[in-house]
Amino acid sequence: MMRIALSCLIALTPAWSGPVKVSVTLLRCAEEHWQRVLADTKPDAARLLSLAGEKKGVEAVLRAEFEVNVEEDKPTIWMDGREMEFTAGWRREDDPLALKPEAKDKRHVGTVIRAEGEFDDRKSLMDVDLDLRHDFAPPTWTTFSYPIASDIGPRRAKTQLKLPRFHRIEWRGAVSGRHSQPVLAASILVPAEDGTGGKAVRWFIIVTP
Amino acid sequence: MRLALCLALLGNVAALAKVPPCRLAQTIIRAPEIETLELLTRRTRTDAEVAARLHEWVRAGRARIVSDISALRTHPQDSHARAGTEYFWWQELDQDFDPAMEFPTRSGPVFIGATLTYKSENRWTCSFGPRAPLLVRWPVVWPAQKKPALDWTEQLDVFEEKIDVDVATPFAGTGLLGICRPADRLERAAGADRWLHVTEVAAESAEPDNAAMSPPHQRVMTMVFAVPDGVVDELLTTHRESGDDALLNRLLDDVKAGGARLQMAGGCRNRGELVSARRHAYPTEMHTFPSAWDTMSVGDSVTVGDGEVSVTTDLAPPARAEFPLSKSHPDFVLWWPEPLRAHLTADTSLPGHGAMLLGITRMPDFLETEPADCRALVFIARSDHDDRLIRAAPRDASPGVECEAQVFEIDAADEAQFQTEGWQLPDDRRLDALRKRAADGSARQIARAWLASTAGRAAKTSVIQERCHVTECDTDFEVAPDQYRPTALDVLRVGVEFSAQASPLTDESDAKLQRFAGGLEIICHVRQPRIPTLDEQLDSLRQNQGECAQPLLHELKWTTEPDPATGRIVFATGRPRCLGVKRLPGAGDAARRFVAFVSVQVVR
Repeated sequence: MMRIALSCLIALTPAWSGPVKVSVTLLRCAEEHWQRVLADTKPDAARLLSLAGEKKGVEAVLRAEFEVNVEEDKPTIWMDGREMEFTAGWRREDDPLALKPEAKDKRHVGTVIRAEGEFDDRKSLMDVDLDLRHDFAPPTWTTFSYPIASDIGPRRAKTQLKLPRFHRIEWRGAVSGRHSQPVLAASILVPAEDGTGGKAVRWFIIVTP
Repeated sequence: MRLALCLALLGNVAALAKVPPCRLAQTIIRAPEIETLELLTRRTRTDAEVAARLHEWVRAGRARIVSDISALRTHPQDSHARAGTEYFWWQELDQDFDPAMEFPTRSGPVFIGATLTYKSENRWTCSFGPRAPLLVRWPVVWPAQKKPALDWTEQLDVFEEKIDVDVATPFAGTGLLGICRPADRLERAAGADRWLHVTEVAAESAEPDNAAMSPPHQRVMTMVFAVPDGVVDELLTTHRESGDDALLNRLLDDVKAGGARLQMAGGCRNRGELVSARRHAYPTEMHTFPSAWDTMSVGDSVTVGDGEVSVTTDLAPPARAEFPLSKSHPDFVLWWPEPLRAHLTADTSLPGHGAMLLGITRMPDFLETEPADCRALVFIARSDHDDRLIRAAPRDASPGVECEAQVFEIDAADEAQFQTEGWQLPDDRRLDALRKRAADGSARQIARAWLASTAGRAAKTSVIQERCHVTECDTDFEVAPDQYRPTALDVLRVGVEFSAQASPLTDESDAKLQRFAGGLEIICHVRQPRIPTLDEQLDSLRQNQGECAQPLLHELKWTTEPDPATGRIVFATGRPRCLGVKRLPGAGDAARRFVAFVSVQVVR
């Protein structure tokens, strides 16, 4: 009875003004387990969270909690992980065989969530626009061969410049701000072939406004 | 055409409705090629029925899910989700000619993976990379100096399957977005397992009470079969104006029995585009020492919309021309991709349910493909539209036209028999005699093409290899007397091309003759062009003040000339017309002549 009453309360709660708390949970599940045990049932946010809590084949990887600004055009940025700087451009100095790193580029490796509320005229929350990016594996590298000897020809000595590869899932969309139940915002399969050498993994993005 | 209009209207009605929250799902299933084609074409099945069968195959281990993404769509803005790898690769190179060095000055990202994008204008885009990019080495050569330099640079070729179609939400249920061969199909070894990638999409309302509209399925599947020459007449006999299901079934049976080869299979929803290809990078400026690059698609592409079907398929991985640039340094070469591809565009009224023969093109003998004995390409489409759309579509009253061109090589002594061109002559007897001679080997058919289209609309088919030649170059013969550096290239298209646009005139008084507005054109080549050798190029540059040697193109072209009295092209109804005899331009081949016949058949 208590559970029913609580559900009704949540459902009937009017949209509210002021800072709005949002939580985003990232879950993952081995695709093999998903297909064998869970795929026949419709994916549902509450059930997935429950399976993660009970550690039944679904693992909670990350939970982000933050507030959405009421002011327009002021997104909330939530980050976890580290900034990675890498060489994205080179220049030569007097020695034509010496290539010096010049331009640097940066990528945040980990998780970045950008959230922005959409409010009606009475400043009541209508929707939460979200943009999520999550690195599911550490960066790897591609190499580009570059000559380091003046002797030309097929056996010319070369070194290898390293260019990064980022392994990611991304989702951009919106959830309604008028309900506060957890919502399954996206389900994304990362196939086994995807560069990281592991097994296929299914990721779930759950948002609770 | 009108069916497409009806679909568009249904889409717009849906677009105007308020968009309730829904969950969009996109699943790519790798399934066995021929079985999947049979599932799609042997009998009428809805998208949902096909998808259900594919999932049975997944459970049984006969098919596999290679990508699966679902995303919530809450309001009418773009929805986007993706999984994969963001590769950084160089985007700008700088050069130093003396030590032959190219070095990256700037890099940027290239995404390889699976993407779901639903745009607010009801456009669903799915892209999928079935494998990691291929690293290709390109020569870097600077031969226009005494101490020439050679090196290599590396470039990424990306494999991508991309489908972009109109899909109006809200809808409930399952639809097929597109079907294609894997983008890396041409790179795989002969005899490797053959698959199709089927992209299934689904939407379900996130609000249970919402009355969503079920999606009208509107699937157009195109296929290209390679068959032996001798089968073409049988296929045209099997062809029926009322529908070509029997012909398609026969082709599928032939493939299973080893008598034909499935060259290409790809399809999508109406008003859609599909590309499944390797994006092959090649230099576009300073070709020997690349300073700018572009990419060409090598694979399959299909466009379906407003009655038009366009199919392009590469028959081989990108062939590479190698131009030697120096007599003393054989390693100094310029590379250039020379794709071999077949194409067909037809504007026609596809049936609501069923198959339709779109065209046949025979590959010229000098174009090398595997297997060598299947040289005729048969383009066929199978469409399956929702019954609601078929009932709602007004009947298209325009007749169809079927056009054919045939080109034969004959002995010069026989020229007189074919010298006179004209619709008054009994050309069917001349053509029959020539075909018998081609069968006994005393003449040779060098080109044949057949096209179906709606009256008055353009149709075209071709099998073309792009060959390149040097048009401008730099030299410094005092410093380096036996080498040159190309600075501009041009592309020659060799093979066969047949285009037709014929509209029957209704004010015809003589039932035996039919006048048409429009025209037909057949262009074919007898053999590969003669590309100048290094010696010829160097001689020409020395003797002609830096002018490059010209290639020799063995090209023949016939166009229907209008009747002088009426300005219209005229055919005796249902009978072929001789377009006259030609010889190859330039010296040589004095003993050979070439004669072309065309015909146009009105299909009511």
